[in-house]
Amino acid sequence: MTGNPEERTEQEQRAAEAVRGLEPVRPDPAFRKRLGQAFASGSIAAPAPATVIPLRRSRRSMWIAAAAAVLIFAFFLRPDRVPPTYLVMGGHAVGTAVVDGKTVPLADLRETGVPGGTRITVLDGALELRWDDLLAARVHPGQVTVPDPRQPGAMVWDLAQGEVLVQTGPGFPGRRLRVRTPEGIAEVVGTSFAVYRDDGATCVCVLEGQASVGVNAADLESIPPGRRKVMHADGSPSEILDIMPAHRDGLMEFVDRAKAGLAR
Amino acid sequence: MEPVEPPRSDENRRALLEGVRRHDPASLEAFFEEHVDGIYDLAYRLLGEPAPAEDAAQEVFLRVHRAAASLDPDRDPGPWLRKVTRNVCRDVWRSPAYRFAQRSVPLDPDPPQARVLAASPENPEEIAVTGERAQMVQAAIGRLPEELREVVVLHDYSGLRHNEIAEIVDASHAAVRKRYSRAIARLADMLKGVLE
Repeated sequence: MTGNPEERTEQEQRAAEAVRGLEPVRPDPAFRKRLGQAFASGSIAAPAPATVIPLRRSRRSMWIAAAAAVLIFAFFLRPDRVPPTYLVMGGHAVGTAVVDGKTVPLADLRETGVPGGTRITVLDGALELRWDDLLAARVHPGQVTVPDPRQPGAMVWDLAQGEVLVQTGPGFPGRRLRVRTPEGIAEVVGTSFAVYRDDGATCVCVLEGQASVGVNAADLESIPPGRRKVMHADGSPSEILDIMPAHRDGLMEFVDRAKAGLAR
Repeated sequence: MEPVEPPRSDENRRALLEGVRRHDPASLEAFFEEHVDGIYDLAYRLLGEPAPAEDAAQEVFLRVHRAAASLDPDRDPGPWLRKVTRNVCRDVWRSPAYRFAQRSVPLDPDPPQARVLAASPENPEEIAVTGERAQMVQAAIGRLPEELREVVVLHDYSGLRHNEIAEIVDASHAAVRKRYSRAIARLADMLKGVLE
């Protein structure tokens, strides 16, 4: 029982040989390419935060998170920096939002776009965003932090309140996308889904493809198209139900529009 | 952590590292190409899943980018990169998110072995048997405590000597030898029946 091969037991020798015999594991080519570009261009950033969400945050961590958000926002708004942005789709940019503490008509965002990493509170109306051929999203009244898709690793949407609808596009395969709310997480392997969050619960509706949904990593389960999972803030058991027909019709209207936009 | 390309001459390596120190994009790209597979591979063996290994590789290259100006062009960056990779993985192990995930189901719907089988139509049976055994070995490595896991991976998988591992894990040579002995004994015990 030692590092010296001559003193190892036969079983230990076999175990060492088995480890030596493992084949090298290569990274996913799409991830490798994105990381290489980010490293060479200097735009590399820290990986997206891990998927586990503390259900109750301390006041101190809230302040730290708020300060971090302000710093990120300030970084993106530096005058010498022209950030890549989400394109704001004209037809649905109606209503008002709070961006960087200022209330702005959503239509004004059509000029500037929305940089990745921005936290937006949509007060009324709907904000429709698209990033190249990667994904389209519609944010209904509520608060969401949009991720920067240029960064490798998982794209994490933080939904504090309200509803976000997501449609992935032809550039999506090979990426990972998560939506987090205080009650749970949805990890998408499919194409179209919606997450709604209010004070009492989070509901994830899957329209096409599949999504792994759960209150935490241990609770993740695959939700097929046409179904929704409702997770409650009070800790009562989650439910899996059919999507309500009226809601599905509204979601499908977004899906059709988003697909057309992503295919251009 | 074997480089994909043939080893560079000292002069070429010096020129490359000088470029990396200046944040020259072409040099950064060449440096990335030379080291990314090894870094990801080591992170995967230490963490056992593709997603955290990707995050770890990203964090390693972020740290490299930040520290590029202090790179010594006269030294092989390999040992330093291994140390950074191990330190990043250690930070992951200590994170509550990782510890929680270890008690939960994997998120990857398409495990590495399925991808290998899908990409290799010839001899699927042999690949399946070999792959199954490899998965069992990896799973057993993953069940080792972190301080034992890193020693067995660095010694038997990466082929480092105990004194080299001691530098990476900030421990004495004797401590590394002891940890390795415990690690390989536990691994042998876990793999009893699998390797016969």
